[in-house]
Amino acid sequence: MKEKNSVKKKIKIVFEQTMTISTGIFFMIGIGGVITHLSGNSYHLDWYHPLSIILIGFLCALPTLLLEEAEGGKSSALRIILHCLSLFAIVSIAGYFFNWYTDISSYISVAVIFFVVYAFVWLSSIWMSKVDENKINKALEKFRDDE
Amino acid sequence: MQVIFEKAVSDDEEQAIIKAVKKTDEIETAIGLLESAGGRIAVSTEGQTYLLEHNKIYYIESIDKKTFIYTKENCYETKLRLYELEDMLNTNFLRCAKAMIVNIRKIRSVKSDMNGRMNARLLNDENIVIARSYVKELKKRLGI
Repeated sequence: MKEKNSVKKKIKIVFEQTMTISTGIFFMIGIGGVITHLSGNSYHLDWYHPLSIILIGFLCALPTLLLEEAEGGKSSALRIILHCLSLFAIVSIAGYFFNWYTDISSYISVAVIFFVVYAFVWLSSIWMSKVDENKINKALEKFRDDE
Repeated sequence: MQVIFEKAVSDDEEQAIIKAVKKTDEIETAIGLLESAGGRIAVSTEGQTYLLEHNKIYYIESIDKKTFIYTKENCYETKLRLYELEDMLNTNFLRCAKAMIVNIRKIRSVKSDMNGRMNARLLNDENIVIARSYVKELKKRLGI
């Protein structure tokens, strides 16, 4: 029963991360599209691009699951650096096969989008954790024993 | 909610009745507290066996298939497994990691860490980690 719950929890984490990462990439591509259009250039996506984004979201969710599971060992900062680099490797390799970039300048654009999305996700999760921290500390004031 | 206290003549007559439209989280907490009041666990240290009151427990940790119970200043061993204790203890006790249960009432404060974890400082100034997946349950228990 507990193992079943644990598997369910892992599936939930993978699903949530897939959705978060895919949405982040779609958001950045959307902004990129607006900027390109306003600059007077044409902008289009191929038929397989949306699905490839979701697939990459899923692949990026797998190292995230390992990061969530790891409780000891390496320091948090080192784990995050390794996580970031493994995700970047996934995006670079999968992007090559899905023709996300055709030359070095488009590869640099993808890299910039990746790091912006990564930083955005981390900063928003840090902010949400701080909000939780404040709420929990406030609630604990009424809950804790007097010792 | 109106609270009525009636003095009982003997221990046998002691009972608590809660009348409510719905069994809310607050009522569940109250039931847990009432049921565990005076609850004790058999623990041992240095060959001596003691009965330890639930409300003295700070946290419980499982290390190499052994279960250790930590109070403000002492550490005891129990033959009970972590999952058995989890079922036995009231809602003040929260699973905070794979191998740890913490008494929420003994948490002084929490500090968010990278990766969604929380570092909890206990009333005896010890620090423990609340894993990300258990933070949601902690919030629920605190009514957030």
